[in-house]
Amino acid sequence: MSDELKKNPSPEENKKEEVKKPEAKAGEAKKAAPAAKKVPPKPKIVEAAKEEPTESWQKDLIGKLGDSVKEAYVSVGEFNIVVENDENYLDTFKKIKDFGFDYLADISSVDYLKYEGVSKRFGLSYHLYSVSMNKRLRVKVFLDEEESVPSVMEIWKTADFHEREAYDLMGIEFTGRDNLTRILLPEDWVGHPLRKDADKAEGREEYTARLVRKLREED
Amino acid sequence: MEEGGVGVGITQELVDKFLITTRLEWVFNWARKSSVWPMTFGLACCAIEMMATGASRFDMDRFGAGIFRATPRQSDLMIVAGTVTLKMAPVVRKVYDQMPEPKWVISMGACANSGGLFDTYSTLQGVDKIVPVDVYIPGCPPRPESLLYGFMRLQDKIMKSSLRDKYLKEGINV
Repeated sequence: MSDELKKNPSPEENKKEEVKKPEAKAGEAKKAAPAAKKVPPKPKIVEAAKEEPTESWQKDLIGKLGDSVKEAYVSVGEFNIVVENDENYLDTFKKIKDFGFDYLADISSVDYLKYEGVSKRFGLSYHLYSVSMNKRLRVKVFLDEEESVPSVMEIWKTADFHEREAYDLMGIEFTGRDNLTRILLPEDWVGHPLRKDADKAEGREEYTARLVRKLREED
Repeated sequence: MEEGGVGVGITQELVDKFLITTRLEWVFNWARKSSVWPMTFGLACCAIEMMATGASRFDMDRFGAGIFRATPRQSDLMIVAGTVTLKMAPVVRKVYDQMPEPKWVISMGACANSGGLFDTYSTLQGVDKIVPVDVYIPGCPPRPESLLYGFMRLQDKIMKSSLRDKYLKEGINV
């Protein structure tokens, strides 16, 4: 046993030495890297291949919505509809709900500020689910800066929290509803931190300074 | 009364065998360091390591600190174990204020020390901005051995503390 134990470490040690050599080379490469540091190019929007919607319910829905559908496609197996923020906006959503999409799973917001070739800055995605059909649908709308969008709260009550989240973190205004206040951040927070032009430290330091001042006053 | 006794009923033999003379301050400090009751207060993953430290494998009870109290009113030590978000910060301070004197604070892990990897809009960059910290423990998360080592350093600090400190803090000259 003792002989075996003595024999075992030696190949391991050899391996360690072998491993160390490439590491040293990698370290040299890392040192050389900062000298050749370049400003990264603006990321381009890489979209998955778009396919024509083929299923019958998808065609039915597009037919019912009519002209308000600007674009409809299937991407990585998911059905997407692009609509515009115009006077038919709420009407479109009402039709979608009547079609069977009774559950609004999420509203997500995107800031395309640092992307190339984008006409509008913000994007909103409504993720919908139909319990009766067991189908999913994503409705997209693109918004300019300072552009507000009608609230879908009267159609799906659950939009309340989702819209407040988008307002809180991204600063997107929703009209036709009340109590559009911050939901995650403290009420007296300044700015919208998930915007790509927001400085992460600015709001934080301002709030921390205010908090420390308040605590000192309490002392 | 025996011959050679130092007082009524107290013989030289009694003094040699059973009595110890020391400073009152030392006894106070020794008692305090030997029964530091931490607060049940975890904020993130560091709390898991803190629980492991309290459990039988590492056993914080060996140092008299195994009694995690469920209320700040009965605690001597606050182990800030985890990320302090800005929303949690006033709560941390409130809980600290509710602890009776003398009280100590251990900042456990990178997040509590400096915000750690959470250089984000929502994280407090170091718990020492809102409460006075006695011992900082590095690590992400620190292993239970680190917490125990940090705790032993706190015990050293307690042994060095003086009753004068309190008066000096309050600006009373002694």
